[in-house]
Amino acid sequence: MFSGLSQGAAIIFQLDVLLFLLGGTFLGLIFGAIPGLTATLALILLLPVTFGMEPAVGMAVLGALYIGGVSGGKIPAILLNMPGTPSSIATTFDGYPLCQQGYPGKALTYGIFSSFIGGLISMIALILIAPSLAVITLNFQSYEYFILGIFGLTVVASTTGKSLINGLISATFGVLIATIGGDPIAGVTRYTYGLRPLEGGIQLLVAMIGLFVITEVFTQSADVNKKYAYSSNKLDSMKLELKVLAGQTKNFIRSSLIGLGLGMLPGAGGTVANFIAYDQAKKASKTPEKFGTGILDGVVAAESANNAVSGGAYIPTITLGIPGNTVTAVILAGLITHGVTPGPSLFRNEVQLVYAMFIGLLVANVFMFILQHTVMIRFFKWALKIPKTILLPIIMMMSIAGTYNIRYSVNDLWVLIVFTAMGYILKKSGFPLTPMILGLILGPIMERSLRTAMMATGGSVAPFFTRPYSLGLIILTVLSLGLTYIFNWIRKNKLKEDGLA
Amino acid sequence: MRKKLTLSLVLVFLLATIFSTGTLLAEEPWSALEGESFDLVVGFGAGGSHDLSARYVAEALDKIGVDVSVVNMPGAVGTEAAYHVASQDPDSNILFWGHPPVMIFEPAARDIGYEYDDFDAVGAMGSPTFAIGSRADAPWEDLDELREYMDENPGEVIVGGQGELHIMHYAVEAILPPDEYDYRYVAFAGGADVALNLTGGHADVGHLSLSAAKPLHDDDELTVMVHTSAVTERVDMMPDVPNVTEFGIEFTEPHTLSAWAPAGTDVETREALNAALAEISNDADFLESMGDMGFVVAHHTIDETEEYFNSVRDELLPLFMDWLDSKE
Repeated sequence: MFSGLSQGAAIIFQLDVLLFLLGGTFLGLIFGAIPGLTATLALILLLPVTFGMEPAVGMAVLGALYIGGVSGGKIPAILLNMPGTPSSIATTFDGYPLCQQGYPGKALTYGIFSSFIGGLISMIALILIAPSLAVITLNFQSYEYFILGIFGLTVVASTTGKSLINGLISATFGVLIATIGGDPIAGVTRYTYGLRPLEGGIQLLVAMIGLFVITEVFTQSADVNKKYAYSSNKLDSMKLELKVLAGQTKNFIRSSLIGLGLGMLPGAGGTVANFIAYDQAKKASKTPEKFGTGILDGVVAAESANNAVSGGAYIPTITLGIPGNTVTAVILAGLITHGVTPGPSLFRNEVQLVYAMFIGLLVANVFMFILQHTVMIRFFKWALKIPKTILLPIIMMMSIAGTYNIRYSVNDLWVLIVFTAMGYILKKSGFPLTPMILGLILGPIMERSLRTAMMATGGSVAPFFTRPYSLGLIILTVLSLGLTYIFNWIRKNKLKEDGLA
Repeated sequence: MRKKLTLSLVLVFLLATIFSTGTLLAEEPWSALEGESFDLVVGFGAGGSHDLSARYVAEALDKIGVDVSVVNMPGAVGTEAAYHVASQDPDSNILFWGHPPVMIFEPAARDIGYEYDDFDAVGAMGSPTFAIGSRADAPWEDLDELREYMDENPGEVIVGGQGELHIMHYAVEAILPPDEYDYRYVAFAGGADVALNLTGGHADVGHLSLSAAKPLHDDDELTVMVHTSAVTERVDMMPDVPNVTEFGIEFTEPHTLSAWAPAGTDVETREALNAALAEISNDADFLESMGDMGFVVAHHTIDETEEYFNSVRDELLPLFMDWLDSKE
């Protein structure tokens, strides 16, 4: 391994390669920060450019785009309450309140550092124990994916605000919306009512832009008394305090491991990791009631997890030749176009390339931190000084263009309009929007895996309880819910005893 | 004087170059496409065999001066993109990268807003190869032994495929008829999911692309038993793997990929594009790239393309529709 690392480092630590990585990371950050422009799109656009590069360098540049793309989503999430990507939705829960309280610098700085730590932990795992972790990927089957979906839905309770009933209604609505279009097994269309735009189902990214970005544009537009999206035109301190970091150690590790674990499950992890990490941070907190009001723990959890997904998604891609998500599918395509056959033998046959990719990811992770914390921060300051009358139309325009760019479909623009109207009405009526997006993400995963599991067992549910991984997840789900209620009950009783409640 | 001479020479050289290039371009059958650019719409996401093959085509076409951009429009197993292209004006320089499942079987099976006749052929380029694989530690080595095992152990074998009530599902049942062999069919999310379940030992047999199976086969994580190509007996990528027909099975898979234009597109444009496709089908780099992912390149003229797809429509589609009816 050390020889591989040294060979990989020799490829990466050259001035031109480092400049390519810097450019790739920067471009990824830009794509991640603009709603509708995704890391996947950045990779597709840049893939042909890498054809002229040495395979190891080309793959490292694609990795840099990925790292930047995932991390860039936090910027609009924190400053404007508009997530750039679905994986940064949970960042808005506490990032935006922190910003509104006058701490955008603090939220961004610790968010950026959390992204760095999440990326670092997952990349270390990728380098050291990827083949061992791939065993977990192989042991996850439809039974486990279904239970994982149930586990994911328990997050609803953490993201509903005051009314759990409203949250559950919103989540159910999300699950129902996810059933529109072709069913995931036979492709039979459902609930389209003959409307062509619904044939292909609802695209998650389009729903997110409608519910979270354009709805927020209208919400902020309605507040005519505020000239700027952020009331002050100054950023607070952007220093990282050792004491604060030390207090977040457990949160960093827990959230990064959640991101890593979910990232290496093909088709499941990336988008839910930030929610689950946020939920677990809240459950582990001594002050869960402060979550959602602008607590740093929330930003740290969401950002550590979503960046840790990147290293996790590389694990099945590199060890098995099976992409962990859409981004790694493009990376896999990149490997093939460079004449490299992905698969289990990659570690043996292409040592130099594999380790150059890994070192490239680590370097891109460092660049991501430096670029955001030292360079892009100046742009953020400038962006905050733009009056809403200019900023919001720009965001609206970019979001619409981004929506169209997802798959060049005018139909998606109609869907966007419907989701914006729905988001605005629901928000004004006191229904939380996050559970709906959770339903949209988890609904198809649960439906497909339950039906696949039933086909495999001929209708028996026994394997859900006899398979170790599935049973483990059931226990984890019950514990996660049960312990929360027990701790809440103890806390309330203690407050009563102290005469505070 | 010397300066003037040098300048004159340079001028003559430049003019000669320009005119000779122009003459060369003018002689090519695809020269009518000069200055035009086309979108080649792929109905699946980036990274899959559809996307990669389209990108290789676009790259090779670019080398001979034909500008084609690949546009991914995933959704509803490729039919979203097909519908989009079918509803464009014939002169909008848009092409669809389609195979029989999307061109013929999906619109025949349900109302999805377009039909096979809404397209005009531009040219087929060959086919990706699909295969039947089994888990690495399976107690059978080839298709005959698998069928024997199924006879002796009814209901025990799990066969993983891609989707249900789809031509991919039909392919599995054409090779392993359920009225002859008792097994459980499980519809997975796609080829990668089948590969994952075979490698993890959760499925005993699986239907997946040869390119997805090969690296895992090479590493003894699964075993490719047969391939189902309709265009070749043996595939260069894995020459030891027999064609399914060698086991007395008449069914082969209709996955030939072709470029299609909206119906009404003028024939000169389509012929010029077809000539360009014919040219790249001799490009060594293109052939190598396609071969590396198990794609058998076989260029078809417009007439040959229509003939092939019509034969699929006339011969295989009725069987598929009967099979669908039998499932209701």
